[in-house]
Amino acid sequence: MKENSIPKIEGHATFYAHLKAGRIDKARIIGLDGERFVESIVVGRRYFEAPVITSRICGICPVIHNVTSTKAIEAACGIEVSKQTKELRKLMLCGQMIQSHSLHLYLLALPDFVGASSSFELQKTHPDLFQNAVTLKKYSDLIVQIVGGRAVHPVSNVPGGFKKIPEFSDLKKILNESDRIIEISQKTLALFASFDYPQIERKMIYSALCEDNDYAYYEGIIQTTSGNKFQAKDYHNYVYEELKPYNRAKFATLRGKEMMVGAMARYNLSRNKLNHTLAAYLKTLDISDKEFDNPFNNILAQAIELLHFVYESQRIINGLMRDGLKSEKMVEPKVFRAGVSACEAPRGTLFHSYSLDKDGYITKCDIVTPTVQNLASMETDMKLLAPIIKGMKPAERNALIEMLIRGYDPCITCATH
Amino acid sequence: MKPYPKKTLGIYSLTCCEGCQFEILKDYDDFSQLLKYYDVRNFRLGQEENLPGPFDVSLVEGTPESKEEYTLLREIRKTSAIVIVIGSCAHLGGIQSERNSLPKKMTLAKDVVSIPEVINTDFIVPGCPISHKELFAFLMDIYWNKVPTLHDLAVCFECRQNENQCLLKEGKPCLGPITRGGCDSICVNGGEACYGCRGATDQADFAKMKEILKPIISDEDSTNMMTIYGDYECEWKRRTDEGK
Repeated sequence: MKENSIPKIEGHATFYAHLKAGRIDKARIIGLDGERFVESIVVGRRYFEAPVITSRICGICPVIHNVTSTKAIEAACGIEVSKQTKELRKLMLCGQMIQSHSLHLYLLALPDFVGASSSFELQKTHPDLFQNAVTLKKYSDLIVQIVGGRAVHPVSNVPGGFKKIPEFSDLKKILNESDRIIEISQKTLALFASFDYPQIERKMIYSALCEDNDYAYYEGIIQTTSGNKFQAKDYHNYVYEELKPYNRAKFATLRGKEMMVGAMARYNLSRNKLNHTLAAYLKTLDISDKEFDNPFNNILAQAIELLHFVYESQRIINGLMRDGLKSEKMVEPKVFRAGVSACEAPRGTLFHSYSLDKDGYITKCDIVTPTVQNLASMETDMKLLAPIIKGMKPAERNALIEMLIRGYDPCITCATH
Repeated sequence: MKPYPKKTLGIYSLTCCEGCQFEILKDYDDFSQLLKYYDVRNFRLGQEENLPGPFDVSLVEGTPESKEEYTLLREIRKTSAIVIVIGSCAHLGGIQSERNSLPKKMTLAKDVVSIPEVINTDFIVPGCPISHKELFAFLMDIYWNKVPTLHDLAVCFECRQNENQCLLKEGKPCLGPITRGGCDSICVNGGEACYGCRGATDQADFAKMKEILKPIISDEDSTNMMTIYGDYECEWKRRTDEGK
């Protein structure tokens, strides 16, 4: 089975699955995007240019690349930023999560469940749902716009802090919206909890950033369900990247074992740290407290996170408004050395690593994206569909495989960079 | 009142970050207004059924990398009455064009070329990312058979209207004086310098720009700054050669 280019995913990719005697013995994801060699492009440039360039890796998740890159450069320059800067970045990341999750849930994933062929068709058949997507997107764009200066490829966040602090009145504008957004996100979660997901189950290693008391996404240490714990700076010893001849993107494994990162991994590892109101709401929806094992549940996990991050954005803004916004001086670099950082992108853990020479020019750069860490498990999961697709027509088979791949929410432009 | 039937539209993406496509979808209210005038026949990011041309208008983002992308690009030209390139990658080569100055051994890849170097194009909507308002205004002009035009004043014009402090006067680098405006000086509003994503204005004085930057940053840094989205120095050389 082959498909030209899977529609409704970020980037261009196709799959190949070989069905033989009721089993899929070969499954491949093939990225079609060209390589841009972003890691080489930043070499020879000054340290502060890295976030500008690396945010252009991806148009759907530029914020997370911008923040992770900024954090890694700060680690390399010995910069410690203020609490206010951290909170503002976290707020921006909430915007990123809501933006990316709502786009994936409504416009890319939902058409599969309600039988619409495109998001435009959804507008005709389910105008109310479509309106939800528009409202959520607007809210998240508003956050990134106000904190970062622009909704796609933000400009204000740089190594050392924020070049411009948002106005108090603008934050109030976000806050005024948030109650309505919580209501919509609750409806969204209820909707996605009501769908029948194709049932496949498997054991998989999940990996995500974790913190002791919070649902981690900005900082923390990486934990896996197989018991590994490591700091971002040690990622080379745990996350191995390899090239496959048929894909321009690399495949990453956890020391040779397949793993899954993303919303479902975060949910599995930190679900007891979700917002309390949300946790109570989950009980009313009959979502069990068990670990998710069905890869299709990644979609449900995204819907849960959507609501969580709306609550989180509300919490951060309330905190910022309580403490007051101060205009701060940028923190200047103390040294130039090497630095690594990890953040949770909508699709999973993202690593940025830089080495700087004594004058602050970049000598080495390495970026490991979440999709790269998911590709191997995606291929394995495709094989699990064999018993379900056995009696299906070719078009239906393709649709189901596409749906599985889409469920992972892959970002091929990120993976190829 | 719509005296003309809907025009057909294809939205294509080559290698890039796809940020411009997301910018198109950014404001759905605006986008659904556009759908009253345009019939989107090909838009892989947003729909399952994507038809081949011919189209009245095609939008292309990104730079061609693979053989397939080159073929697709030529196909788009053949089947579209109007081709609009959108975004810095398509227009100037984008961030990946810096690859051209790397040692060939490092990448083993062909040079990045912008779309106007491969096919004849009709219009450019610049920016990284584009502004969807500017693009939709362009498309509406085309719908009403008007010739759309680009802003040809430097970023500084809008920047002063926005009452920003001039970065150059503060002794910080900025490429506003030679860069085409129309972006509402969005980067400087957010505190960042202009890195020239929209390309040079027709009257850009590159020599003067270099002179202004000289006391502020080293030659190497100003070259770095002027080559983020496309090569200002190449453009400078090209214009000087043409002028001779």
